[in-house]
Amino acid sequence: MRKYIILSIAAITFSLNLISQTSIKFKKQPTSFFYSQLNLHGGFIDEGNGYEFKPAAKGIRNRLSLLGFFRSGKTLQKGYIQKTGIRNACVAISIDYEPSYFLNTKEDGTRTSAFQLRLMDNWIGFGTKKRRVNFWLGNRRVEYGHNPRIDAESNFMNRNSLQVRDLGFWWDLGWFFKAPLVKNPEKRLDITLQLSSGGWLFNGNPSQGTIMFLGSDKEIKDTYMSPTFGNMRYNNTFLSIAHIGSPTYSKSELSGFVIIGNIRDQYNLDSTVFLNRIGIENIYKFGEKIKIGNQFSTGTNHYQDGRNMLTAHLNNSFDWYFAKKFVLSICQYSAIFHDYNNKTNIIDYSIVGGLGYIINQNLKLRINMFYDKEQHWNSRTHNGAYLQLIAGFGKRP
Amino acid sequence: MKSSKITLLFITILITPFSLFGNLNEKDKWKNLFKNYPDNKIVIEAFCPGLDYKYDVGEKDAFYHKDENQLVFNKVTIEPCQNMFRDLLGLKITFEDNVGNKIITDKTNILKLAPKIECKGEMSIPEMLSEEYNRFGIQFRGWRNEFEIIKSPNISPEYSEAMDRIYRIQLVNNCLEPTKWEVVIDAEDYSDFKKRRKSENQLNQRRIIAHSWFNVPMDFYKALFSIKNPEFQSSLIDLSYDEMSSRSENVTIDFESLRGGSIEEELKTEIIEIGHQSERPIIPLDPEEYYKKQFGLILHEKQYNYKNILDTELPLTRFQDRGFYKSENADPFYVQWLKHIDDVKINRLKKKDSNLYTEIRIGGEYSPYEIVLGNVDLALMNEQILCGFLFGVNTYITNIRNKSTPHSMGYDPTQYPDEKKPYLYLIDKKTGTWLNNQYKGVEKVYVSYDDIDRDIVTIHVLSYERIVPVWMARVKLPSDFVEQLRVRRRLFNY
Repeated sequence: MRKYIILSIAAITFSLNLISQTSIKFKKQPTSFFYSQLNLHGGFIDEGNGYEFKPAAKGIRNRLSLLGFFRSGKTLQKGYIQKTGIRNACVAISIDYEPSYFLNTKEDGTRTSAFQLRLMDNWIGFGTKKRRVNFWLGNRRVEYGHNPRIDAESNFMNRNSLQVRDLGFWWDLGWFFKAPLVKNPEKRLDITLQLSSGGWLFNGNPSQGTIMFLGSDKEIKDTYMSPTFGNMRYNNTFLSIAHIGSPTYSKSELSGFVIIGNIRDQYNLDSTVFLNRIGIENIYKFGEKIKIGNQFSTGTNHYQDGRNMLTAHLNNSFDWYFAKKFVLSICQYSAIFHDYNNKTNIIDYSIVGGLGYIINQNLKLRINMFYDKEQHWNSRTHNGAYLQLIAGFGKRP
Repeated sequence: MKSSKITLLFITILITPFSLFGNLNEKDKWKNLFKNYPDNKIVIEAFCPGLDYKYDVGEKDAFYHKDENQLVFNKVTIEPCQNMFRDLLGLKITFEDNVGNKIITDKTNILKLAPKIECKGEMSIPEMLSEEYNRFGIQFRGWRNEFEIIKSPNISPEYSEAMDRIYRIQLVNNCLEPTKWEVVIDAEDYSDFKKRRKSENQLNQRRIIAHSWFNVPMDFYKALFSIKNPEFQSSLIDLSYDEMSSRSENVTIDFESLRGGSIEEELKTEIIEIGHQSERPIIPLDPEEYYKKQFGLILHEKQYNYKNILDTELPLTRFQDRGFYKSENADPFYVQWLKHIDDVKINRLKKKDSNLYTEIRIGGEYSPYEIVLGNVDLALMNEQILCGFLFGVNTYITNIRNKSTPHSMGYDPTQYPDEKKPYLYLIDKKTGTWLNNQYKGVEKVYVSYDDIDRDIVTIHVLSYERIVPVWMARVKLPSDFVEQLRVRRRLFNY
């Protein structure tokens, strides 16, 4: 969904000025758009005890999301931005069904299900007098590499992105900036900067952005159908990212990035981890049919409990749009964490693949398959296959 | 090792003078533009038709020609600017009124004001006609400090305040005959901003505060043309409009070469509406049409629809001396042939880096003519705007930036790669030969989307000169194509 929002900014920015003899329509067009999307997602998963049928507990959960997108009528009326002005804004929330929520746990330690109210893309977009120099304030996707998906909507492959895997969170609350850095047509470079909260609204991998939840287990009286706030304590965290590389409209995007932050530790939410990363990514596109993405990052993690780790992360992905209606996607992630004090290693590995059938732009069906081997989670091995139905209603950019 | 360094130094010393001469020659070539003029300055008298002139496209400011001497820019000085501009010699152009108020556009990329002939061989003649007899130009933005205002010491406070409201300059090679140019100076008026913002119609704060026409010298213009189009003789400019038109009418358009690739497939589209069949009422599509209607130039008195407009005698005012329209020079014409246009075909073109470029063919079984619009990237369009395509190949537009760099899927018209240059032709359906669109009464094609879903393409054909919408259709794209356009925007966004 976020991708569409970005696209609208692009469209309104360059379309107004570049192609053909453009005129703005005399009759004003709507500037507010509302869209809702239903995700039904579940299937068979083997968590070590054989295959069981379960609602999705990986990637996108069963979810109803609501999106409002707004273009600035004032900016459209003026026709240009004199210095800095609001271009657009987005409000997006979702209600997710989490089958085993760690904040909704029985006395015997069993996790039970909950409905979560989550914050998704919630931001205000600003333009400046300079073309392609824009910034955003709010909750947005973490700029840990680009790697767009061909079939982006609620894509299961995103669970293997570096954002989710390395940091733990897809969105963060803060300031995001994009601009051209080198304008020479022969060797153009863009820069993306991010300064954000370091996962303030992140409270665990299965509950990104959860600000409130309703327990659905009668045995847990405190939370059963009772609105309960998630863990939103701010732990003096921050995240800063600088990303420099070929513009995203290039056929081949080669870029590098640097990350420094003190973020919430996804494996111990009561703690934080100071991290730094340096990375490189290459994205190659064959028209609109094939996209190949490779990302590598390395750096160190310094935990509050005194552990220090050298770490490296690799993400490779392949998307193929074929026969007009189908999208095949594969995304692999692997990481190593080397504790250089204790001389121990932690290795995580995951591969996900999917085949999507695009019935139309508002209705999609996907089969998602996954295999996870994660030493970080007690060396667990999970594999399975989910069926995902995505149905959208309304207008969106 | 040592000897190789010496060799390198020797080669450098040997080459340096040549490269310096190379630059000097380039600079000299530009300076030659001014060799016949004292002090390297071309001084030109400009004309303004006055307050009563009703053919200005837009709303006039309260200070437009309020006074004969102030903000009526009747002197234009063109000279080389001091520094090279992106390997070119930029020009400094000064517009001056009688009391000494000046507006200066420095580092003007003057080549953007010379027509570019995009075709070779016999197709170059109709191309020259389309480019030269088209209004195109560059704009200078106040908010980017792209022009300078020097106020006269004698300026009155109210005029000084009016000059402070100037925010954009447009320098235009107009659609009349070669060498006729215009300068349009726009001011902003925010006195009724809230009211206009709440309005259902898009009328912004732009007001024309000054508008002057001038003729650049023919030798200067020919030299510019030659620098821009070294493979063509500047004597092309000497051909009259009628001569070019008659020579073009036997030219067969080679669409294969224009496409830069073959047609991959015809999209399975659905025609939702043909305007003259649905009898859809005609309303102004953009602010320019609105103002023309307000000025009584188009669609006045009775209500028109896309059916009865085709039986209507449309007024067309010919240009006269100094590039002004005169109402007594009206020349009515009909566009009845559009009654037979009832089909739209959209073909997907095969390009090396995309297969989403399209060619739109507007015709009909009984139509003698066909309108062909190609190399259209539908991913770039949105529901807020109308994308106007002009007849010819990559025909220049009026709002080219003086300093522009292509930076997305879209291109500045001066920087399109050959295989992606948009083209628009009116052709004889049987022979495939070129037809003069102006003689057939059509000037421009607008392409847009119905709404933000971007699945229904709206196409309007506009009449010559008065830009009245005279034909329209709505075409639903196949859902898989709509999705692929989304993918294109997603992968190649900025």
